[in-house]
Amino acid sequence: MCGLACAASCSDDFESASSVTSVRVLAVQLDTPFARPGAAVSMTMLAHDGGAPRDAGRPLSIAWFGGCDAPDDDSPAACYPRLAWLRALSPGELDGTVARDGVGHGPRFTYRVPPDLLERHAARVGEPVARGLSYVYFAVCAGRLVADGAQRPRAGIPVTCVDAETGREAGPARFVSGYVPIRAYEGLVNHNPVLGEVSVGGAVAGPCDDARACGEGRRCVEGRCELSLPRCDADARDDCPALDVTQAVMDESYELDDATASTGISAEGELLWVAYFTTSGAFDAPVATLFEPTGGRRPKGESMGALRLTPGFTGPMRLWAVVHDGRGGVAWSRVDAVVR
Amino acid sequence: MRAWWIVSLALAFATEPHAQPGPTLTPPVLTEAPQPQLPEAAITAGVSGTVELVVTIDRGGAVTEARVTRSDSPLLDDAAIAAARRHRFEPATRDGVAVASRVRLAVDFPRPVMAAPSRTAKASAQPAATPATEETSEPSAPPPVTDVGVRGRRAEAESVRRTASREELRTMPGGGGDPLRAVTSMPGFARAPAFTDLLIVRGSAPSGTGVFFDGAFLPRAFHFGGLTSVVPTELLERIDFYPGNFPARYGRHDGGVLDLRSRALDATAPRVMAQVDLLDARAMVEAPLPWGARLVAAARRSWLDAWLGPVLERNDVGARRVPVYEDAQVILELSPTRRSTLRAGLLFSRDTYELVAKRPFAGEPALSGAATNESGFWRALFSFESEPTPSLRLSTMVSLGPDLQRERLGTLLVDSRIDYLSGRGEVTWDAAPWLSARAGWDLLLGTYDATLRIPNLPVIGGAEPPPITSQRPFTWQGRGTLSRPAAYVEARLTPTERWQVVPSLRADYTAGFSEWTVSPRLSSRLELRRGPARTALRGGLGVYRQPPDYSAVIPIFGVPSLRSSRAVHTSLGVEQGLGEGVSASLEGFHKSIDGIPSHDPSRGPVATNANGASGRVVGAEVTLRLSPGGRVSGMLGYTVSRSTRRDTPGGATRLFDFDQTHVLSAVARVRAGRGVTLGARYRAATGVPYTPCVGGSLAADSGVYTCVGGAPWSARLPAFHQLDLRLDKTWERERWSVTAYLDVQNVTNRGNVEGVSYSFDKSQVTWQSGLPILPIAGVRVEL
Repeated sequence: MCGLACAASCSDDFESASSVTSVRVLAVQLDTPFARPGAAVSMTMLAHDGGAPRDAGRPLSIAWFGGCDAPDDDSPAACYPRLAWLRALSPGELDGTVARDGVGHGPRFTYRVPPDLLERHAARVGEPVARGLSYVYFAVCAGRLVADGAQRPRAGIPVTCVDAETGREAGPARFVSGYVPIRAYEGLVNHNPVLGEVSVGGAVAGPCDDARACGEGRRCVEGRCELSLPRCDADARDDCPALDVTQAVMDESYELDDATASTGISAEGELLWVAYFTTSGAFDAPVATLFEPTGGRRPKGESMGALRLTPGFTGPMRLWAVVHDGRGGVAWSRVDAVVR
Repeated sequence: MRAWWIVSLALAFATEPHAQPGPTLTPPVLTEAPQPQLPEAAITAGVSGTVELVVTIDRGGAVTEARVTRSDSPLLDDAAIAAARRHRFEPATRDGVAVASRVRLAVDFPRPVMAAPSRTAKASAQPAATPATEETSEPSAPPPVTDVGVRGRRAEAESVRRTASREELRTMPGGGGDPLRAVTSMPGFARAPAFTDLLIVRGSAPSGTGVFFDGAFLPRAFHFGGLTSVVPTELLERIDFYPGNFPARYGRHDGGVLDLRSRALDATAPRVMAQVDLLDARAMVEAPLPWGARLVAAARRSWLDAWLGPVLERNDVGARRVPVYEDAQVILELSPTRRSTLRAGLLFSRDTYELVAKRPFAGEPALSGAATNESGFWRALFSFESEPTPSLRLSTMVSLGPDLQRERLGTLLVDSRIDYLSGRGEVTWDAAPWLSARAGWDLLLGTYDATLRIPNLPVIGGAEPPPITSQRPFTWQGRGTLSRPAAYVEARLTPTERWQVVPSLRADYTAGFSEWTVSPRLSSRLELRRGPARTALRGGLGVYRQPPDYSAVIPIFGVPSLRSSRAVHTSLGVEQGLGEGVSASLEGFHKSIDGIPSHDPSRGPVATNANGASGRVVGAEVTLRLSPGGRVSGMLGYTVSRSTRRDTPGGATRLFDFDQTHVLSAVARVRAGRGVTLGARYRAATGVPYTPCVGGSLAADSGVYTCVGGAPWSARLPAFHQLDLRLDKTWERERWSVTAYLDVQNVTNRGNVEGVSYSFDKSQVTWQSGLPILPIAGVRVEL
């Protein structure tokens, strides 16, 4: 209880997770959040380099390493010893100029789940349905990926990011590493959430074929008109007016949670939440609950994001709303806007 | 209130005949010892202790004069004199003729009803005398007397037992009047993080320390967040704290023991107490009943709900049910005979809340949504103690009742009920002046019914699990039984008047794991010098077995092949009197622990499936104590220790999670007169170790970063310092008293560090500060 109160009230000076000012992996979506054994699972990464100069982007290196099947204790850390082979990867194998089995590049990657994954998984009391688990690892770098030869136990995957020109370690602002769990079941199915429109300050980006359909000063980006947002002239971000951001989520996204449904204790729904991201300013709260396991859909006021722009900022910006269903299901929306 | 008293009379039997042929002396023999009554002032002040007197006994066996020679408190003197005058003796004789005599008498006020050690003292009061001078007289002359040597109540040979009286507990600065929070200022305790209910004793895991109420195991000692104990101070006489080498009557723990001792009930007049402060309101009624029975009923309820709700709302936490803790106690006591006491009681405790985080935790969205808790217990307690003969004491205790826990946090839930039946029977026989033997049984039975939906949590020896949000929680539903019987024997040997040796043996059986364990123990105490400058050595060596946690009978938590951990406690210390009411002690200790339940991934996914971890603790404690009773009292405790663990056989040694190299606690109280008491407590402790994050790894399905750990437990939090003050002012009248108090924790508003906080991607770090300055004002009324 006290932890709950404190977690809600204790503040720190860190930048909000919603503020995309560095290299970020905002989401990875699997085409089938629950895979069948032996199936090929395609995954798509949503990454953005928020630290790139506004007038000139910089390339992102994305590498995938797959996979680690049936890890001890379901732990991604337990796989690190199995990933020692990454230490021997050449620069070409890491940047994609040289092919290597088990290594992929770019925002998409496909991993085939072993047909015997369910049998390899150590069954646990309390798991009425046989399941399997694999991990696929990734590294995203605004620079050059290199194998980390240092033997550092428990230090994650042995790949790091260096500045392409100086060769110096780039640091966390330019490098993200992580993993994607792939859950395998014989019969269970989970779908990615189904999203509707995103509204920002009450406005919804309309469809367009070109900029003429969007009005003066607004572009047509990937079939949607940029929204126009007013500049904030306050001295501090907290003093800027909050722009309500709402991601519509369809009711069918709220599926029965197999962890409850299969035990007969009490059938409950998924926990769905949305994570908001922006390239200008930050959201008051980076995540908001959409559906509760027992309470269903949360009131609109609690699922809304409150965006406060960076004071004095003008120009193009971008927002994302990434919806998770707690069982590996992910979907996202993107909104382009111009602040003036 | 009636105080039991102990005549630790002890008249040393005429063991040394005169070297010259002479008259045969027979010392007086105590025949009647009415119970003394504590004066109201002593009750109000919570004073207890011992008064030593010299009493003159006439030829008819009546006490004609009583004079105090030493007293723990002036408040006790008159009561002791009055009690002494009501004593009756068989007079001393000289060559078969009754003569007047003078003996020394010690009147002990600590309540011995439920306290075995005090009972022991009473029973060991064997008349014995060492003739000194002897005069006979004519009836008309001033009564010549026989001075008879006295052997006082022996200190028991527990290697270390630290006792805090009710008054100390209630007025401990910064303790908020709570007994368990106050007692943790004693040496042997490490500082627990704020808002936790952890009891960290001599480098042991918190689960290694057991809390008992009159010998009955209390599975839950605190209300939520460690705010306050489930038993209020008003019902206690004292707390006995054993930081190690505890007696064989306590088992199933390999760290320390805290035994909360209830007080005797007042048989003289009804009494009412009411108290209210920032946290809770409480009331207590105590009254004599027909047939000499006594009853006390107490209840307490927090009123956090009156002010915490708006605070939570302001922080985006909605409260469907604002946190409330409540507890109640009823104890009925009666004495069927002069030598027996029967008690029946009921303990009840419940915590409830239902909160909703309007904004989920970005760090673990699965823990978002509703957080509900309804947990508590009730216990029916029955005990019977009797002394069929002066050398034989019997005690039996039975407690039964359920522990309930219904918690829900986001997608996770725990719903369990454990019905406990515990009991203890003990017989103590003072077989000879040099031998007292004790044998007992100790039983813990239970049935559980649980439904769990939980994730993988970090376990000893296991790999770091992914974020809870990225896990599929597993669910378990089932029921079963617990059975843990034990038996123990203990011999209290007194080879010489100054040397006591206590060998003991305890045998435990743990059903579900089909394990028998035998734990031999030995403690000893040797008095080198007596009096105000007394010197004594004490030491202990023993085996302490802690069976797997109760949850380990559940197949998701444990396997049947698990075994008890085995700790060997070794301690050696010296006590030194430094004058009236001032004493110091130095205690060195060592503890090695083997077979700590752990996780071996090669044996499957069950959380604890091996006994592969081990540990070692070495340290020393220094205590300087000013005995309570005077205007100034205080205690200075300092512990230096090092606690290490090895998580896997042959693995690297690391600092234990709760290792604190230095722990200092200084407490002082001044009775300033006019009912004013001022107190201060200063605490300092080395920060606990932690494993720093050297980076973050993104679990992309949930968007949560996990910590990529550096060298395990290679960093420490900054040192802790805190000053607490307390002011009590009592207005006392004949029929009532009112006490107002102000307890200010962290007077300097120091931002003590309680933890580490990382940015969302673990790339930046900052400290988490704990409790700011917290003044708690309250008022207590007693009628």
